[in-house]
Amino acid sequence: MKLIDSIDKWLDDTGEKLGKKTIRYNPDLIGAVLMFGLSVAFLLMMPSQIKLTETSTINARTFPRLVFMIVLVLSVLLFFKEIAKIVLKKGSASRELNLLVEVRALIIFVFIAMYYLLLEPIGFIASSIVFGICMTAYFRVRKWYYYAIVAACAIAVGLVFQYVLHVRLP
Amino acid sequence: MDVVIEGIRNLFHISNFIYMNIGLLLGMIFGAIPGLTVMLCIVLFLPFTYTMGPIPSFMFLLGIYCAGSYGGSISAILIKTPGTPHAAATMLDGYPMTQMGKSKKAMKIALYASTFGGLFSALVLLFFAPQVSKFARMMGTPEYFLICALGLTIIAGVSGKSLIKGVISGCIGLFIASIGVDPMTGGTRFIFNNINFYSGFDITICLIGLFALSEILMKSKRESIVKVSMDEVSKEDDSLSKSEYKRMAPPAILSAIIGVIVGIIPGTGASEASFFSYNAARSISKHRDEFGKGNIEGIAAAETANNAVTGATLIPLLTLGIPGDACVAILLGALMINGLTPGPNLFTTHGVTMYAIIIGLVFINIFMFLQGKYLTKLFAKIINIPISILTPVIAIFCFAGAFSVNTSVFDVGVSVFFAFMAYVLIKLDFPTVPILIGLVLGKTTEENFRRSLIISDGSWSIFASSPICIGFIILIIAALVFIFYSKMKEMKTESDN
Repeated sequence: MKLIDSIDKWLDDTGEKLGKKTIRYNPDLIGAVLMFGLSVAFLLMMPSQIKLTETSTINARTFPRLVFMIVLVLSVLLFFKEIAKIVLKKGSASRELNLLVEVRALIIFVFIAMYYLLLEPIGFIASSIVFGICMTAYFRVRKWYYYAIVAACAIAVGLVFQYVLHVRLP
Repeated sequence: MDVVIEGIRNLFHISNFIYMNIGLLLGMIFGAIPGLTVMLCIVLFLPFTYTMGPIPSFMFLLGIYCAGSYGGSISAILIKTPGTPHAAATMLDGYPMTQMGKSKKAMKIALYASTFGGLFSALVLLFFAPQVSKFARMMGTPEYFLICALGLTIIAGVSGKSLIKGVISGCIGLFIASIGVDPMTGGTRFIFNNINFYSGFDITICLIGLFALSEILMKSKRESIVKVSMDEVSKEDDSLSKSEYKRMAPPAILSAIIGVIVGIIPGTGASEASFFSYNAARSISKHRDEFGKGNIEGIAAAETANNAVTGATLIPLLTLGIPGDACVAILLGALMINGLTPGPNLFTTHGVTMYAIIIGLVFINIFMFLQGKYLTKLFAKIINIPISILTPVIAIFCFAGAFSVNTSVFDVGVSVFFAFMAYVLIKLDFPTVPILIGLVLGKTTEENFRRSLIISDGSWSIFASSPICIGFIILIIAALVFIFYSKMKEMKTESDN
């Protein structure tokens, strides 16, 4: 119990420190650059990824090309709109990332990724139990029966899909 | 008339009513628990409908959709936390009633109003949808493309803070929908020599990632929950007097009409309807100063409106194939999974199924009333389920659901990827709902776009070749102007503050 208390205290202290740390960023500028890059990349990839079998000008590339051209134009527009805001000092779309929130999301994402990677090697029910227990521990639950409920739910979901819906789970 | 009778006959199977009630139960539970959404519930249980057939699967999903709107009011009234955003207006007068020791009465009003709103909109759907469908039958491929463009524009415009970002998100959805085999030529697109990409991405798999798994990432915070003591609630008197019924009637009727009108317009939804109605009810009330302090008219107005939206949103969906909001977009996906292509011909090719679904909606509201009347105690207790239990169970459901679509572990990976993508996009202020609309409308939009251009030999003038086309172009321009104007107004208010 003392060990759990000291871990809890360490987690609280670390959380408090992380909670104070923030990163400022401009979502419009980053978003515009990201979308511009993606649209250019996909437009360049198009000839190799969509092979034409017909000679018509209206073909399998027409629609995706139109879509990427729209994204390209709009991302340029978004970029310059934001630059203009910064230059004219009209209040740019600046945001703050709280490190604690992001670390928490990252931990959950790691759990989800682990769950996915364990699906095939150990099977659905076992990986679900492991994931469920990790997630319950993440919420720092001390009541043992919470862990039992989550594990029971994992087994129940597995059995329902396998025997009621006839899905052959891994 | 024969189609209607045949529809009723198809509806009256015990399995339809069982699925309807299971859907209602799930919808109320997900609606009542703050943090869980109706959309999450529909996404999680969508894989269950794959083997059901169109009528039972729609009874199940519509049950979730309708009950979710009502369920949100339970937590809004009891713990001042709306289970769904639609119930935010209900909270304004619902929670003060709880503070006065009248929570049971507030929940009763919410239930009666929700049922009235739901029934009203179901009847509007029953009588109006076939008429709109007759008009829709006059449309060809260019008109159809413009309708899709209109739906995408409105939803992209109203989903986030920026119209540009909304349209980019819609384009991402359209692109994702185009991956895989091209239905018109049989060639492959963006499959990167990976056989798993060959048939494209299943809507359900994308939805699980975009809206269910990403929710888990967004809700990484350990939230404390407010406990509800049902012992105190049980002792309360919930009877409504004749004068109270009389007081509730005018705002309820007005809100039902507002809810239906708002529901028909794509991009607007139950939240807008409930606030519009709340304000309208206040302006016609003789007890204006009681609003916000536990006025029964306020609860009646908000709850009637948010349930009156449910049937109305199905009018553009079933007749034109345009989803009014994100939940209905998933229903559109469910229709497609069952081989029903929403749009002008749906009532001619699948009239029996359509009438069975529409009449089923009337019964859904009746059963919602019965479940609400007898199971409210249970739903109030469910609010107490800790998030530490719910979160892992939802993730497990997501994995099982994603796997079950094609019994493929690769699909689970796709869902995880979409969850990550949604998380990054949300952090960059890109709304995810237009992605969903793009995904759902992608194939129809592209097909009609290409067919139109093939007919016109590549000339874009085909998109302005008929009065209906011109009408839709005017609507798109009007929508853009309106969205642009409201965004500018929003920005001005923000900078003033």
